[in-house]
Amino acid sequence: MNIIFWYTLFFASSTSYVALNKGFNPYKWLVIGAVTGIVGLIIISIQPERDNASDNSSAI
Amino acid sequence: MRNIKNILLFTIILSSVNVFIGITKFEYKDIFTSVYAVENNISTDSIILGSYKTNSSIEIRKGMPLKINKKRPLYTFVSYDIKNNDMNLIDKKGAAVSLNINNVNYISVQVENLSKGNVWGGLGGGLVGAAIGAYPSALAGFAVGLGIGSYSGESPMPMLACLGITAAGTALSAQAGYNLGKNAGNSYIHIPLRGEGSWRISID
Repeated sequence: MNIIFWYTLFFASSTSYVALNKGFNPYKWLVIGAVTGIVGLIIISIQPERDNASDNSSAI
Repeated sequence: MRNIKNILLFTIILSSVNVFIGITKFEYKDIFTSVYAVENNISTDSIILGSYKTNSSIEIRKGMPLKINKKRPLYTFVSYDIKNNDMNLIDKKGAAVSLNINNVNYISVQVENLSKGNVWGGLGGGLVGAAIGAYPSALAGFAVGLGIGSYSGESPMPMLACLGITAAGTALSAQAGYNLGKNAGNSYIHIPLRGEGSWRISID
């Protein structure tokens, strides 16, 4: 039980950190990372960096 | 934004450390070299009594019955405290007894524990025990059977109760007789720990 909590926290924060660095919404990716685990981390890792100029509010 | 980054980094480090600990069952104390203190009680569950004179030895193991100083109470050997020279024993009632070896002049060990059991003596004792026990238990069974019979009319219960009690009593007596008979002629040998020709205690 304990390890599941730390595992979830690890992937949530890692996914959120990568998302933040790539210009995505860290809060949304925090939840995605927590729910999907390593899958969310892989998805955000393969995403290209978002250009701030073409940023729109509807993008995750 | 920088603040969130720092929080996330901290969370990543903290959680990865905990995941590592959870997977590897790592404990912080493993980092440091273990230093073991000298134990207060170093005990062994078997001792060897050796005679320099006859160059013979007897091993006393855990669970062996023995007597101390040629006296009646029977003890069971548990362990020997090397540091304090204490023998840890259990008496017949199951209470732990600690005896310093300086207070022990003789240790008596039954020969059976050193050789094969006396089966024939046991069988003889069993027969005698059964014969002795059969009458009182039959009487008790008869009395109980009569008591039940007065309530249950034609029921086979009184007969069954009578037979059951008789059989149980006889079996118990036979068992006790067998144990007594097995030990008959199986005397204790007295090993002196004091005086001339005394035996010495050693450990494996």
